[in-house]
Amino acid sequence: MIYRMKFEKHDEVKYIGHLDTMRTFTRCIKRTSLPIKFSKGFNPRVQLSFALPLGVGVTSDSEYVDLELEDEVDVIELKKELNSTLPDGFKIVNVIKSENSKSLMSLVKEAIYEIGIEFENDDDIEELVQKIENIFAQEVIEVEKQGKNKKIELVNIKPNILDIEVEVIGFSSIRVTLHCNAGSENNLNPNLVVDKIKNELAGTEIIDFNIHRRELILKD
Amino acid sequence: MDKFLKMVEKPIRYTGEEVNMCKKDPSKVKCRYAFCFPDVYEIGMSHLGLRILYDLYNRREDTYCERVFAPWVDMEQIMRDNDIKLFALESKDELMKFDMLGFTLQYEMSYTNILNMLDLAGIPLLSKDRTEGMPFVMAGGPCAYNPEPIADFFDFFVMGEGEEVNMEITDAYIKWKDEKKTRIEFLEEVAQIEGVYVPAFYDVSYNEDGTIKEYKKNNANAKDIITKRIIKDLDTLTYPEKWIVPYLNVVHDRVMLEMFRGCIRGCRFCQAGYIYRPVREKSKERLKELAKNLIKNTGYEEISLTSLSTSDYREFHSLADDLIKEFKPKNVNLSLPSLRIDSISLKLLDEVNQVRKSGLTFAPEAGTQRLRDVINKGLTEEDILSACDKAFRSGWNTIKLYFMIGLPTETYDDLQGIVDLANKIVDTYYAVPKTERTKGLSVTVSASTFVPKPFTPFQWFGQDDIETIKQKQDFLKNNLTNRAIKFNWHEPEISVLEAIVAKGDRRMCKAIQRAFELGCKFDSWGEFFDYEKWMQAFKETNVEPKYYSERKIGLDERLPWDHINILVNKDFFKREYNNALNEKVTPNCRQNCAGCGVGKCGIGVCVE
Ligand code: SF4
Ligand code: SF4
Repeated sequence: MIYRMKFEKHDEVKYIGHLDTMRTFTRCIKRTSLPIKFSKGFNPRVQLSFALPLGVGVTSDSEYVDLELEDEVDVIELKKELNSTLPDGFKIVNVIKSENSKSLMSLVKEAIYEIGIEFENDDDIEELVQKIENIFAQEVIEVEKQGKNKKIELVNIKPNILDIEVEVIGFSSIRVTLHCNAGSENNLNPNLVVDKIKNELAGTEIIDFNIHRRELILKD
Repeated sequence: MDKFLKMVEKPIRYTGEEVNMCKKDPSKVKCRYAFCFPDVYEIGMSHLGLRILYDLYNRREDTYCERVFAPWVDMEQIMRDNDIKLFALESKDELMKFDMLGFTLQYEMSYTNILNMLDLAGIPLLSKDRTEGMPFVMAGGPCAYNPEPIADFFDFFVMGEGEEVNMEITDAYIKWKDEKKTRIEFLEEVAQIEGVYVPAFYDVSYNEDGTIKEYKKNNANAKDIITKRIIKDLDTLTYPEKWIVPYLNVVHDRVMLEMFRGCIRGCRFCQAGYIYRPVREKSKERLKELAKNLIKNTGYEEISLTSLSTSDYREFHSLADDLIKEFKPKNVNLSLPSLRIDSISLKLLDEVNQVRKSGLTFAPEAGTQRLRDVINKGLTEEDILSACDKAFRSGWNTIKLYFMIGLPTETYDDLQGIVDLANKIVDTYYAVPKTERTKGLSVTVSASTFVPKPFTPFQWFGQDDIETIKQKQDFLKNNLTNRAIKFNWHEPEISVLEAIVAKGDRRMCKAIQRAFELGCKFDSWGEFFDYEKWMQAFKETNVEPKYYSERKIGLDERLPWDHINILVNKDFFKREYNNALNEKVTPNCRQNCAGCGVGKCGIGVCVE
């Protein structure tokens, strides 16, 4: 029996990396009385599979994880039980019984991120928005990325950007809403977008930035 | 704060919010206690004492205990650059807002970290400079038994097991706070509690040759002798059943189940073997109940039976069997550190250790029977070789051996003994028919440097000088030549510093403070340890390091820690000192009571 769960990851737990998040879920499930189905072999594991790893420091409204259980359980009860033992900051918002045999990872298609950026007070915010819009209007957007063998290489992220919007949300802060490809084939790490902005605006001090995954879009 | 966390390695060292973390409203309690561990989060969270006291304090409604760890160097830099004060994980409040800071002293090489943490908190390093309204700074743990080298930094120390005495101190604190008395009045109050030592209430004088003349009380409330506290019945103690589950992979990332305190064996170099006397066990039933609750509350995949010499628990095998029966179906593993390897325990290990990742460990500590008799390590060559033979026949191929070099009376014959023993293990392996053994033998020989410690029969001995230690290490390097044998050793400087500080007296405080000012911190982390800076600190403060580490102390000399009573008599240590020189073995507590003095309490192994 596979249960597909959608969950949120808030500020309190945003620095917990992907592996640590997996361990947290495993232990959380082991604290419940659910009919856990362990994998076979030397090190039997709780059968959990996540959709798309979330970067350290990134919050999300839209994470997915599949949990395999031995028997059928009530989805409302399942949600309640897990939420009562998950640490504050994690929240399961929806559970469905999954009929789809494909791995969650392979279903990931696109993602929408909200990137909040806070600038030094005295900068002209409208001008900054214009500058950022110009960066992403280019035909080719090259960024430096650490490749497989730790070498820095230049990659063009333009094809993975489906849509990008920049708006002013405060006296000195803006929000970049990024709709991009995601998943195992074509994926855009939102940190690269932040890096690009930082590099292009060299000289303008960025006080803080926050990345939030608003939506993860799965293939039907 | 958030923006700084993005810049450091492992930000979750500083964020707290783990499962089972205690949440309280700080404004609703009378005492805010900060448990301070002078090392990074991953190490501190692996420490059982922290868990026990955290739980105990937080069971009280009038107290909120929070955790503080040493920030890693990247975080420290950010804190100093941005004037962020050291804060506690739970409330993120800075330490100055707390009523009491309690440091645990697990190893001497953490002392500079303590000063660094006080400095980061904006709290004066010296007890005498703290004023009304500032937190009290206290310390406990094994190194507190010689509090003298750090006496100037603490308002008071706690000797022995903390469960009862810390609660008495908290009661006294709350009463004192309600009565709005002065700082000194509080210290006078706690000085009367058994096990509490207020260093400022004693003046030390020295003889012309530099030895200690006497300790004189300067306050009528202070005790002449401070006696350690022990818990009589471990079964009735509460245990941290709401065990915090870290997000980070900490050093001991599992449930730790304490089976007993103390050790029956009395190896003469081992401080733990004396300071935790007498052995007191928890009942099997209690342990099983705790294990069940802890697994239920944490979801952990492993339970470790933690005590000094695990297999000395009287019902060890039946406990292990019961736990395996209970937890194997739930896919919870049992880990058994510090096990004495014999044929029964091999079977057990076979059962719990499906993957033979870690191999078998032996700690003969010395290479010849003569020297093992000197140190009272009751492990014979025959024991080791026959256990290895059985292990090889049942599929093990990895053996780890722990030795010490520089032990009292050691000669090159004893070092040759290390080489011989390692070679014999290799021979034992090849004597097993090929079809019965697993390919790829690996024997690791690790040699640490002997550090004489207070409250051991070896406290009067000096340590080898650095040159001698290096020559001995070279001898082993040159003679452990078999391809299957790997030799591990460490640069001796850190062990030398450990001896200097461990046996230090009050004159050492200035040197430690100077070392901190010169930038020493994380001394137990090889990458930061700076011997030259320490030597500079000794020089600038007129402390002669060799006086502490290498000098053989006279049996009649007044020791810096003589006003602390660990319930083991000094006469017993002298007897054991002579037994060592005469190569005479002392039986363990269960074979025959050696009359160490602890028996007068009438508890534990002494009255079994
Ligand atoms: S067995 Fe020896 S070395 Fe180990 S804890 Fe006991 S006394 Fe110390
Ligand atoms: S009094 Fe005897 S039994 Fe008790 S701890 Fe000392 S030596 Fe062991």
